[in-house]
Amino acid sequence: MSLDANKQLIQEFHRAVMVERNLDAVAQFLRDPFVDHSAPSEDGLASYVQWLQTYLTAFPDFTVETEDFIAEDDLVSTHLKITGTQQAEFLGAPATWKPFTISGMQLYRIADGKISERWGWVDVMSLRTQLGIQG
Amino acid sequence: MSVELNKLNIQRFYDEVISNGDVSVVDELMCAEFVHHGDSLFPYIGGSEAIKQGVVGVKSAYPDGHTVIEEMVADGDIVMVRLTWHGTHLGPFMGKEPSGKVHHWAGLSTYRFNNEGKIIERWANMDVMPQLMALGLIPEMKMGGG
Repeated sequence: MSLDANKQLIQEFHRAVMVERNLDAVAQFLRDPFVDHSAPSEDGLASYVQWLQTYLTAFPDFTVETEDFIAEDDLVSTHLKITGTQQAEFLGAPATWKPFTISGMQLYRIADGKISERWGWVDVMSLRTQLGIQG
Repeated sequence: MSVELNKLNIQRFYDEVISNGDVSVVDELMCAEFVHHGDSLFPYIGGSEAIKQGVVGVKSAYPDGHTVIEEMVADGDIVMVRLTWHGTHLGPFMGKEPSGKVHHWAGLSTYRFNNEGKIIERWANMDVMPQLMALGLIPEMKMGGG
């Protein structure tokens, strides 16, 4: 696949999953097997869907703005700004209704036209501080 | 602007500045007005002078501190790096006496180059939690993944 096609795949993935919140679409974009290096588990696809579900439940108004989409070889990366309001339980803390804005970064490997691996970090420490979550 | 030269300069930054502690190379690789767009664990840094001071501080606490570049993605004026950092805590750091233990963390960092091929800005999400927990600066806590 070309670099432009790889970038387009990730952009479509972000739109389907993070904007349209279509979790059923995840399986169309993630290869089987999928390795999520930032949330290792035996079933990468299931654990990724669970992570998304956790965020979408806790922050139903969650938005992700992507910047600097780049691609080289079989890798695509982007850095992001995530905003939302905590409207349900998260990390054991009940809904605070507080808004937050945090930064994050995602790196994806593409194989056989799908996402085969992911590394991602978002500023969870700042999220905890903005929401006032202790311990 | 050359993508290959940008990648080479990122490799030099980590090898010569971060791993070898050679701050004399910073002016060659970075603009004086370099900005690090921080996050809560690795906060905002304004200016390449602050980078030099940071390197000296970390090197005195972790003389063998070094970065391993695991992946690089380069496109246009951007280079993104997935990296791990390791060092033995042999000097005082963040108010903690040396423990002699090996500390490590991993993260992602995105660099932008200007038209002269120098690093002008950086975004980073470095998961320094393992180091902060090992130093006893923060308690073990649940994180939500990334």
